[in-house]
Amino acid sequence: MEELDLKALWQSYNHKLDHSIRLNQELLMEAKMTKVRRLLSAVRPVRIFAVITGIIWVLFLYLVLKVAWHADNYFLLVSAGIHTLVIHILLVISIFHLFLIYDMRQSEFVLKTQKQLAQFRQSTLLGIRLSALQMPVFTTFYLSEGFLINGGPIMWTVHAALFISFAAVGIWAFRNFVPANRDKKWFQFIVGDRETEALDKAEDLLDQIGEWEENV
Amino acid sequence: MAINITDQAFLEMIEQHKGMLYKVARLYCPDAEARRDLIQEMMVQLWRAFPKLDTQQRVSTWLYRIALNVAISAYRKASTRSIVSNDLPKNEILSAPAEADLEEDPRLGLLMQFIAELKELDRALMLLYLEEKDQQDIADILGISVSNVSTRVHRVKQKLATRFQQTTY
Repeated sequence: MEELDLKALWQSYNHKLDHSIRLNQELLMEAKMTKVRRLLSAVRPVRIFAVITGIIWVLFLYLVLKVAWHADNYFLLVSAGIHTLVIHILLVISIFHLFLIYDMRQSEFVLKTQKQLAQFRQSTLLGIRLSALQMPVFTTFYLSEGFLINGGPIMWTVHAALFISFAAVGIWAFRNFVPANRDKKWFQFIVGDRETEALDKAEDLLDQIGEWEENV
Repeated sequence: MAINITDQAFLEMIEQHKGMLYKVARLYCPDAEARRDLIQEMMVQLWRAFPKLDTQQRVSTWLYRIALNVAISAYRKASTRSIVSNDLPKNEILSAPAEADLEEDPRLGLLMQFIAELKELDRALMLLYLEEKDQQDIADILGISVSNVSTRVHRVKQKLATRFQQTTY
């Protein structure tokens, strides 16, 4: 066999090997995408549960608001009103999450899925921040005019301190539960759970697939 | 776990040259399962040597030298030792390409077989020659003189040509 034939034969081997490696990578990336879809599916039951319990809770809150309105209990009306508003927002976020999960599981586009995953995480944080911000209403819903008139300075002081501390914690949480603090220990202690882990893994896999797509 | 810059640079380098690792392993290890171990061993040795990689040096020459050393030494030992690779950055490079259609051309299969019949140093020599490395590079990688490379390449080519002729007729 001539020298040129040998080299040509080797070149054909190189081409086949390159093709095979590429194919292998494609299969690997497809497997990763499947894993991403599976991770996202694992988040769905929590959101379905949140929507169902959220709707039941909102119906109960409507009842509370009606009673408070008829009883002229303005403390309960305003407190429950704020809480109802926040629950509505959380419900919308959960329904939005279910749409996002559905769309991400169908999607073939990594960049789009990465953006949707970022939206998912941002809106989750927004939900946590709003939930924290409403904390003071849990120190006001049971107050009444009678308490203001008959409570006395000690009771007023205790309640004011309680209200201020709930408000301070709520405002602190609202300001600090931001993506920039994601790696901090207290953040992971409070927010870190199986859902966060699953989303972290999905994000990591999507980054790997995105990087690979960029290099192809 | 976050991946650092050194890990990233190493993985990118391996990603670019993984075909080369596979080819070296293919010539020294016919068994697919053992080949995976051999590639892993190459990766471990490359990872250990990576901090010492001289930027003036050609990466492919450096990679060939280490990969061939590992392959030849594993071949001599006949079995690769078990590998502790916990410090190796995690990736999927070890996933070998599908082999079924790689050597479906009978002539390619024969070429592989004939190269595999050569002595271990001649095998490395032929691989580097077919990979279009110049004689100086081959000499640097194998640690032999340029004139020795020239003589050996000529002799091995003749040997291969004879084997092909014997098979054809």
